Amino acid sequence: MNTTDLFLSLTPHKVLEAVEDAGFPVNPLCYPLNSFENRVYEVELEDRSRLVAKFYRPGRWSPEQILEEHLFLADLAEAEVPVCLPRTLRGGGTLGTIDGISYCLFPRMGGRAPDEPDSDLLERLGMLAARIHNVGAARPAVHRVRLDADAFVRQNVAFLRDKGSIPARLLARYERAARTIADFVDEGIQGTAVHRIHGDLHLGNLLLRDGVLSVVDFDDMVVGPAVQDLWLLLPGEGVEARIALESFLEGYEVLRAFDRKSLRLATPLRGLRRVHYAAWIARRFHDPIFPRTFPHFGTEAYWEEETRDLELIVQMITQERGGFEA
Amino acid sequence: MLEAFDMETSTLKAALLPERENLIETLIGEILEVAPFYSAFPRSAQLAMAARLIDLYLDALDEVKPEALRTYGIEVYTRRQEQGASLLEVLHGISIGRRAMSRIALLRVPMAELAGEILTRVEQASDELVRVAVAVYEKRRDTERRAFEALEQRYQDLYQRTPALMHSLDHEGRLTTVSDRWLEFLGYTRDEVLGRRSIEFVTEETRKRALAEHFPRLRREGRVDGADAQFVKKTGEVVDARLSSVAVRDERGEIQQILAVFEDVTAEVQAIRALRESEERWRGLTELAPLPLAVHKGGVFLWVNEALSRLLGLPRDEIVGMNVLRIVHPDDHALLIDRLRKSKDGRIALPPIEERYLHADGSVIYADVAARPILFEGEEATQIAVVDVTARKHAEHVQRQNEAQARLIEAQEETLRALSTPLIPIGAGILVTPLIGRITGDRAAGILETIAAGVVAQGARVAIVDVTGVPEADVSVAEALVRVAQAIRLLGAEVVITGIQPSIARTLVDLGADLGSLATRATLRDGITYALRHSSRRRL
Repeated sequence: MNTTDLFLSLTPHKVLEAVEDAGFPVNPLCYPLNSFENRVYEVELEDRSRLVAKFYRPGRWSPEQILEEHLFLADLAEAEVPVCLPRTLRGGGTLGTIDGISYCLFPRMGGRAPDEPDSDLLERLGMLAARIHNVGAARPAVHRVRLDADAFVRQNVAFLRDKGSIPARLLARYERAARTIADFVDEGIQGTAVHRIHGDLHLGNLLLRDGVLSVVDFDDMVVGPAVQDLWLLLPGEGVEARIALESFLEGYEVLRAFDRKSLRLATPLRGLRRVHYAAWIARRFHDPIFPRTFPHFGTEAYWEEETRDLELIVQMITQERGGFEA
Repeated sequence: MLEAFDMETSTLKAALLPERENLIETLIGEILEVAPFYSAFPRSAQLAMAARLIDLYLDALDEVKPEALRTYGIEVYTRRQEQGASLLEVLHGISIGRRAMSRIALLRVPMAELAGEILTRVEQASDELVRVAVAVYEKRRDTERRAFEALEQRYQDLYQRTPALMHSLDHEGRLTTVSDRWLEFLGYTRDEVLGRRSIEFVTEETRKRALAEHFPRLRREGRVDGADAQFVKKTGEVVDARLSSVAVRDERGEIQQILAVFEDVTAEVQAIRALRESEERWRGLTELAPLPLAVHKGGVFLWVNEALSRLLGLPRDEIVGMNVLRIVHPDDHALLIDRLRKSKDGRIALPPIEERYLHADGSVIYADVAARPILFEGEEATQIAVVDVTARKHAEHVQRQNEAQARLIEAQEETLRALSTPLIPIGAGILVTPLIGRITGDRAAGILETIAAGVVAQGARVAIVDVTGVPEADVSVAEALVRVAQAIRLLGAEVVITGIQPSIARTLVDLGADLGSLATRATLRDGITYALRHSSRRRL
């Protein structure tokens, strides 16, 4: 079992040491915050203020990739998009290392996720996403992962198959559905502009405080189509979903042109995320926190449901194509 | 009403048909709140529109007919789009109709299974209408976009080929279009610049000024004309530019894009810089020069150096801005005005003249003033150099006074000389020379010459020298008298000294002068008497 990504050496003592090494004297207090992928702690400093220390899962991102995330944040902050900027560490830079684990420090940012958005909030969200994309499109990210079917679907399906995660009786159906989704992603992404995007822009990654909407957690930042940052914020289907989409785009298009043809990518991307998510759990399942959190994972019922959902997504895509061609 | 529904005999449509009017009213009431488009129609039209949609939903209860829904959707939504409804407003109509149908179904149909069936069919109809509406709007949008893109392409072609250095920015200051000339001038390719912020291509100083001044002014006033800016070429070379921008706003007044054009003024700026440097050098040389210097334009001082400030006894900042006439002596105003006129406001050099200035303490300063045209801070002006000649003038004045006095003294002396040795011929070869005042050596010589010349000229035989008016006699006087007597005698005449004062007599005795050859008499009258007698005797 590969245990190099398990943060085994990251004891509370190490957490405090990392923050001190970075030039911030601490009180011996640190509180773990909720995060599956990384390890995140709130640390109390000597002056009683608090910092958030984020330790990146070893082996996931290279330092260059992480620094591109920080650069995107800096670009956004310069454009006055409310984001949480990593602090500069002692000796300069924003990225530190302790025992081979990369980490950075953020100021603590209060706020709560916004409620189910009404049309006004959707319009604001559209404007916010457009601003993020205006900044994202201004500079390339050469090291960051590109959101495409190969990396997020085909390789994941191959991994699940090789690992024997999917029950044999479902494998062919699952693979067929996933492959179809991958093809739709390929087809939809062709000719669609890609640039730096948040990659995981759902309501949980937004903070509302004193009327200001801030965006957090750029850990999944990728180079991809703008529509990826859109569908996660919006409900799935039906006339209300479409109304929500139009409200969102009303705001978005005030600040940035949106390629509406790329909307046909929304459902394939939903499928892509589904496959990627399953593979992600499978990859991390040796981390004790994952079996505890996802006890259902890997069961026949789980894969049955996954397969059915992927097939449903394929069906929806086909149906949407009909609508678009009307 | 619930008992009116009979499963055996009624259709689902029939079950909800009694609520048709109610549904139509509900739809109209709710849609007007969220879709302003519909409020522009008269009540009759609103009723007709709502009735068509509700009937469509009711028909779908018995059988969902996608074709019918599609036909309706294409016809109605195409028209709505032409009438100006947004997709959102159309979707609201579909949504409100769906919700109203669902609510009524749950109220009117007691059996959950049937109610569920109704909801499913309404949902299917609603989804189909949404698909058609979106497709209609997308199709139109595609058509418009293609037309716009074609127009945009033509515009871009024109824009790109313009010989001007032009660029346009989006509302966030990112480059959206640049002309070919712009790229050629700064050395970039289009891919390297589009999407980047314009302030990435200027110097730090220009960037700060753009953010602090130009962009705020653009937002406030809508345009900025002729702003100084420095662009940085890809090679790193800095070029000076004059930048003009205009903001294009959308219908809500928000800035949509910024159009900008700039011209390369590097050569001009370098010339100005060189001129400024030249001016700096000139100032460096002239500021501390001991010669009072100033620059004026049209008679108003633009600059003066320390030496002039000292000369006038006024602070420099007080002189700058002052009219030249304020420091020029009133008697020279006409001269100065005439000179200013002749110089055509400093454009023609004039020969130096002397002017009088007034010191702060009221004293007059004499100065030689030279003027020549000069380009001062880019403007034509006159530079003047002032040489303080007050001391010289005073010296000259004193010298003139001295000369006049000397001339006066000379004339007086001449007169005196003439008066000091008067020759008075009293006839019969007799000359009388009354001497008055002290007799110096020079005067003695003069007396000798005068008497000798008079004796010869008059043919006198007796010359009476009256010394009554000579207060005292020293050795030289005694000797002079002796020499006069000897000389006159050599000329064949006799000398009679009259009016010898006791002091002179004593001196003569003390000197031991040989006065045997001299005839002396106590008074001039005695002398004349003697001379007349002696003269007549000699004539006999």
